[in-house]
Amino acid sequence: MAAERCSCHDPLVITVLIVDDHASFRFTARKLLEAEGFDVVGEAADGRSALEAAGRLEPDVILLDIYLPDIDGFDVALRLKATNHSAVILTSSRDGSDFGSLVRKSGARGFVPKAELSGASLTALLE
Amino acid sequence: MRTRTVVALWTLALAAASGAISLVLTSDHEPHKLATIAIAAPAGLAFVAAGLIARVQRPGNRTGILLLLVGFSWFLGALAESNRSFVFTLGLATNFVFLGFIVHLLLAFPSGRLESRVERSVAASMYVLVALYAASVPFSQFDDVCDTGSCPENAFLIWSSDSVTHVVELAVPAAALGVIAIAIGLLIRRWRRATPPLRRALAPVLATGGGLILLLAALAFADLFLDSARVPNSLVDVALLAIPLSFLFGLLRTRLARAAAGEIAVELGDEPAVNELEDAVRRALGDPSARLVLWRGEREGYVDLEGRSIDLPGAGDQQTVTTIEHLGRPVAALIHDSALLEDPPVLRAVSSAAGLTLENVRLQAQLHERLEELHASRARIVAAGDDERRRLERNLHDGAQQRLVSLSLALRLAQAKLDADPPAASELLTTASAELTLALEDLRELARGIHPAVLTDRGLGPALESLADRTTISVELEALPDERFPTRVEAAAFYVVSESLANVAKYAEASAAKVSVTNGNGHAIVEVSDDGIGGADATRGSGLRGLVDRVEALDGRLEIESEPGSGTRIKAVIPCA
Repeated sequence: MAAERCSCHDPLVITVLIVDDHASFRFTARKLLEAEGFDVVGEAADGRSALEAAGRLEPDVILLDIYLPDIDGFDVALRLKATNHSAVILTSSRDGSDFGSLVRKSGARGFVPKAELSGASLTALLE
Repeated sequence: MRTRTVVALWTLALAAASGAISLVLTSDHEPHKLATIAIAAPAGLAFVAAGLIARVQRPGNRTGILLLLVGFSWFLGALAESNRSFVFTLGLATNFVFLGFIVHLLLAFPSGRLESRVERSVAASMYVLVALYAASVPFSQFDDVCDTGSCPENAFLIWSSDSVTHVVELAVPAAALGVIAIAIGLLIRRWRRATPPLRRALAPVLATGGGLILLLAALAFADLFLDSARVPNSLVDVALLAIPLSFLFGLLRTRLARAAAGEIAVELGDEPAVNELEDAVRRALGDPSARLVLWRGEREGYVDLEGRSIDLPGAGDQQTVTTIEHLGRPVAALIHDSALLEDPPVLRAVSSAAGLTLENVRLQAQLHERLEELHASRARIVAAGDDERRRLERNLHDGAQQRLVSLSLALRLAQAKLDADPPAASELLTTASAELTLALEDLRELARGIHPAVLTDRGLGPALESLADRTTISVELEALPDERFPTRVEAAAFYVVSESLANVAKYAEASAAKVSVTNGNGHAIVEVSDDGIGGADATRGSGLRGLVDRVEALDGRLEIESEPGSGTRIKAVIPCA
């Protein structure tokens, strides 16, 4: 499943793909990021849709939930690293310390806890 | 044989031996008094003793009677030591009666029965020759009986006839030689055809008995062809003495074999294996062909140690079957050489030891099975606990935690929009409030699933009423307990009902279910039934298996009746103590 606006975006605005199986989180995260000037170009509810949408939309940032129903976020991040130039930022409602070195080994740009998601936290990881 | 009879016969034997000794000591015509007493008296007594023991131990076997007859008839010969002509002549006439019984004994050993017509003919011929010899006494002078020439007169002499004397001296030994030759042939044939256990039984008796009749054959031959060369009587006496001693040796060996049977259990140690038991039984019986077969009930019958069905030997086979029982029921059988039937004490001892060992094996197997079941059940309980923790974590993560995360983000967003866009902030706060309500509901459900508070506070009745209200199908609470059960029993009973009702809702396609919990004789009896499709199986899936484990962990039992098309009835009986 993927929901996105048109791909004709302003090159100065950071585009984001949100991948999470919980619709309520996708909804709130979209509102939050858009309020902070990000352009949410798409949403995906599982790993396969995420890979497909990432290839098609080529967003600047992929906000990727770790626990997905089919492929987990670490695997999705590894596959994206090989095929895509998007910056992958992993997220979860769990604390980052629960995952040890998995975040680093996945090739993701970083990790942000869902409760601490904000435009500033994303920008800090992109710098 | 009764004790009184045994004492009477033994007293009679002692009296006969004393009489024989006094006759020898006072005899005018016995040149070897001491040697005769030293061997002849013990020989007769040994036959009587062996006969009495055999009669006591194996009353159904005629061997004992034959041994007694040999012993007592042997003493008759001592009458010929008398200096009185009547007694002397009576002794001469009955001198060879024991020979008839000896040949009969050897041919009939070990069963005590003459099996074939040839054997019966040979034994009968020997009796006829003995009778002929006795009948010839009134017509013979018996000049060569006494070396010293001081024998008393033949008191029965009617008419001294050289021709009769010649006939007696030639024909009777010749015929005896023939009969003995056939008897030896029969014994050799029996030895060659014998199985190892039978040979073991035959060996001492055939060796000594065969030796004696060979000696007698030599005596007959000497009488026939070597006029002066006589076989010394003392040699015959020694050979004769060896026969009862060989019988007594056989009895001693039986006792040793019984002791060896008793060692079977010791030999096999604490963890006996059935195939090792078979080897031990073979050794104890001395029968390498012996087999141990196990009883598997009326339907399967006997099977070998590999579980293959087998046919037992029938009548007339060289092997026979001895059933092994424990507490009056068959547990196994020994297939063994028929010759071992002549050794009932050994067979009984080995069967008894094997029966005990098999019972031991069965109990150990049962113990192992229960231990394995206990290990498996413990592993399943641990796994079920892990699964439950995973389920809780997942439910928390997917439910309340996600809602609280969204709530947190929405509140932050609302705060950011509070000044610039109050309507949007208000909308976000409304959404956040709804998320909070849902998060609380999730947490409540979760807590109830972990352990319903009403169960702890109010007991099983109110907890089940609440459960029935929340269940999607119609639940009739037929009986609920007024009293409280121990906490762990209430928890298990609640778990049985909630899991059963969850299964009914998920799989049974039922329209209604009934629940009852009663107190029966110190047990909580929990029953859940439905009108669904049935076909529930505890061996498939972990739900029902988990119920069984949980109930059995409290020493209770769970019964599941679920014939396809007849609904499902689950009954748990949980001890309260």
